[in-house]
Amino acid sequence: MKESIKKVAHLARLKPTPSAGEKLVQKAKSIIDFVEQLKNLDTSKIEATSHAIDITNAFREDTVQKFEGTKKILENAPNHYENLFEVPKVIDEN
Amino acid sequence: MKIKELEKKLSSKKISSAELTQNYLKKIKELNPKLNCYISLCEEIALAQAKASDERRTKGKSVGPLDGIPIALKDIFITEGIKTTCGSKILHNYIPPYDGTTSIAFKKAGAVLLGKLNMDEFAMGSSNEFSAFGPVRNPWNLEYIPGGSSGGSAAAVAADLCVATMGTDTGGSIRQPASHCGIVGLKPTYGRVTRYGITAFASSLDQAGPMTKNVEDCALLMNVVAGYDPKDSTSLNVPVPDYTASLGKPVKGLKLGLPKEYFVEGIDNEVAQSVRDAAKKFEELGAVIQEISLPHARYAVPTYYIIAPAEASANLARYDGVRFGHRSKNPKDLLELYESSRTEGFGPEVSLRIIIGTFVLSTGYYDAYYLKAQKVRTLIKKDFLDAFKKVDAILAPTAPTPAFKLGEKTDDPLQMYLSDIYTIPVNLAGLPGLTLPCGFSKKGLPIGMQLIGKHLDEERLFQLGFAYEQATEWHLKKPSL
Repeated sequence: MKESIKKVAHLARLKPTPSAGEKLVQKAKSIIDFVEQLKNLDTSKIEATSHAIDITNAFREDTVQKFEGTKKILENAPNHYENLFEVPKVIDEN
Repeated sequence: MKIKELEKKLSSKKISSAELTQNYLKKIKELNPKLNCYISLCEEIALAQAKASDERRTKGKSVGPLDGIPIALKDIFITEGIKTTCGSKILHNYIPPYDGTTSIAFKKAGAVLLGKLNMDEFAMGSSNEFSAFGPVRNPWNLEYIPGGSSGGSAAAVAADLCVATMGTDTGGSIRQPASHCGIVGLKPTYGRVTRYGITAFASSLDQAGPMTKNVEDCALLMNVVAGYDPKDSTSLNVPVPDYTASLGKPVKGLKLGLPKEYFVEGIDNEVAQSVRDAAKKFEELGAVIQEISLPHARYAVPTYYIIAPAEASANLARYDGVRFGHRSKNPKDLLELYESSRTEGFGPEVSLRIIIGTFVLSTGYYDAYYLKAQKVRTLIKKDFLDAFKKVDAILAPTAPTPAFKLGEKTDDPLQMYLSDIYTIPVNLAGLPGLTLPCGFSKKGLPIGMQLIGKHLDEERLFQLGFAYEQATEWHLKKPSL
């Protein structure tokens, strides 16, 4: 269980310090143990509910809408170059 | 003071919106250091909005009952040009480039926005202790929590640091803090109020709603915010009634169900007694009380703690330090940028829920946890639909205990989660739930009761809540600060 939790932390792009990680594992384990009680219920003939209200796909016309807030969006960017978000280099030159 | 009474004062020029707004700003500056309800104040914007409202009134062009009324919003509502943190370090510097639909609705209604209110980070918490901006304190006793996640909203309304506000409720985040602070709060039917422009936590459960000093104010706010929004794909395209129309209608003959499973182990005696006393009051008013059963009630909390973290883990993937929000300094590569920005930016409770959510959705566990929980959700919903064949609404406690002390449950997530035991089932079933004050504990802390209605039957809840409020005086009691 401990290893599984460490693995999902990596999948979720979280890298807690060893002591914070220990606490997280311990708490996550107690919650997973707690939710296990659902296994006591027979749900073999029950449909799953993903939404409480019956809804169908909401389609709309695929029309172009003008957007002029580019500057405001870039103002929130931690780093940007002209109209692009800047991140560390992804492709290795070698 | 009620919104309608304030409106009378404004329209008869006994007070201007500018004066009213200044009074509120002054009071906030005096009391906020004690309570920590507000994360940010927008003084200049508020005074400009108040001035504009006064000018409209002078010209006889008032736009409705909220024109010139000072309100505030939980810091989860996206407000253009006004910092919106969601209680998180990862959004400590985020200035939204657009307004959410609810923010626009309040602007159109002429309301004055005083500021943004404190909350548990990403609305994950039941005590407001998981905010990156410090805990909020309960105005009735500063050693106690105000509830969460809309704890800043509940405390601000209780302490009269705004006339009314909006919260959001994924598992009880409007109703539980409202009950702990002695105010009124409504979680509407899922889809009744838009989610466009509220930061997503668990999309199939999130719903925004009013938090107010009384039932009438709550109905007035619903008139502003309820309705179809094409920008929210789960918004319901059905007509919106005038929510004030059912206020004052008699409740004689209406059937109210008391769920027997809600009055067993875990409920505080004073809470149970207050809700039973409220049932007696409803009987005096002519309603019929009968016991009902919600047999799967005990499975609601474990079901929620699979579904909500699963949806949250997906929704919170967008915070990666690339386009907005906190970015870690000097990452050596892109992976480190993601990992360090998220690890530094998220608090421990949010990290915990992301990990649980990722776990229950991961290969090999999906069927055992996530799909299983969705099936149990069907059973929980069916319990309510069966009950509503027999009764018009359900009367229940809002929270199992009055507010607890700061620090009491922060290290024990399960104890914290169980404080939402009576509110979570309502979110899982998508139903409306109205909480209103129904008593006080011996320690002087408020106790709330919850009226749960059929889908889209908010009017019935207002009718019942208003009748009870008129017959009692709990809502008139104010904390001394």
